[in-house]
Amino acid sequence: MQWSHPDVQGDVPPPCRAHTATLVDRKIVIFGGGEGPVYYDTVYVLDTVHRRWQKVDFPADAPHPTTRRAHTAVYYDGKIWVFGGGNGSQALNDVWTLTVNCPIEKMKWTKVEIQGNKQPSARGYHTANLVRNIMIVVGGSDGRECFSDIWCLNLGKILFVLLQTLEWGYSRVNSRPRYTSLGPGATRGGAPSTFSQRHTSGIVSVHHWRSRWKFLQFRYTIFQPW
Amino acid sequence: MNNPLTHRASRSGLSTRTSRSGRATPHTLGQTSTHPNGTTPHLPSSSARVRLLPYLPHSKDSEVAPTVQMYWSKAPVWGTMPNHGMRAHSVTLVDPVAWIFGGCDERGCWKDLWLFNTGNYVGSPSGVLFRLTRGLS
Repeated sequence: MQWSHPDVQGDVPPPCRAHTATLVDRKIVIFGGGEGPVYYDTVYVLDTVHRRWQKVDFPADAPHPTTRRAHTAVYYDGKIWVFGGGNGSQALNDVWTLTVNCPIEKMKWTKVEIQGNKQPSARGYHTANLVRNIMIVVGGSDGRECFSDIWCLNLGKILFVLLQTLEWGYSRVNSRPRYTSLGPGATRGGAPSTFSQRHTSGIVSVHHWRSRWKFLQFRYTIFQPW
Repeated sequence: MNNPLTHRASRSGLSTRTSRSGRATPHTLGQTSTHPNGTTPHLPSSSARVRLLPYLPHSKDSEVAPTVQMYWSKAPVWGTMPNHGMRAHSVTLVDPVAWIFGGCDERGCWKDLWLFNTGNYVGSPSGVLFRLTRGLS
């Protein structure tokens, strides 16, 4: 359990918070984020083998998502799928893909047209985890209201489905989860673990096809992670 | 072995133990140990050491809980540690190494990169690395 502070070369991104970082073949792709009143729409790639940053340049006339932060991203089928976030004046609910299974100079943004008429309301600070071909979006906020709904975006069919969840013994799971992580064990079982910060002091998992919440009990020692 | 970190080897909740009266009793949830920090009483040297409760190096006084529950405890980290707070940063796991970028604290946002190797090794004053017993990852 060693910390280190490596030297990195190349185009180091500016100071940044609330961006996404997506692993693609030992490269970390950073999109969006911001600092203070500034919002970014830039893409940087960090090669973890050579420890080198590279800024991705896109043609000026190519389609491109607006600046945003507190969005989410998952990697599926050679593309990074980006959902939601906020641009400083409003929350967003658009979906974009960045084609990344190609040389960096060929990377390309595409706006995803959602099939059907169902879609989550505009939101940031939600979580998104990929389970097989489904991007599961939990909670979030539009700056006024916090959400507790769960949406499954089928990335093959480009279809959003609202999950009807059943309470499973623990009332607090219904309050707005924020910031999730997905454990490798949970992936195999098809149930992402949702790490919820601030609003609920616990970890809950939702089984996405049994549609049930489960609260994983924890004991605290002196360490509280938030 | 005198390394206390290896004492976690027998944290199984399925083990039986020999009580002070010499009678083996199955471990049940919620059972409290006769020893305040969870170790078994001193046994003859021929007996195996059995630990019924997890050893929490940084929290000797935490409440007794069933071993099937999970515990938070502070990780035994070493190396060049971050010199500022972080929130809204990103953490990307590449094999055992977490790559941590950006984020902010009350002073502003950061553009630096930190690596945290989650491998189960800890340093010692002699420079020798000890491996923790199988636990996280």
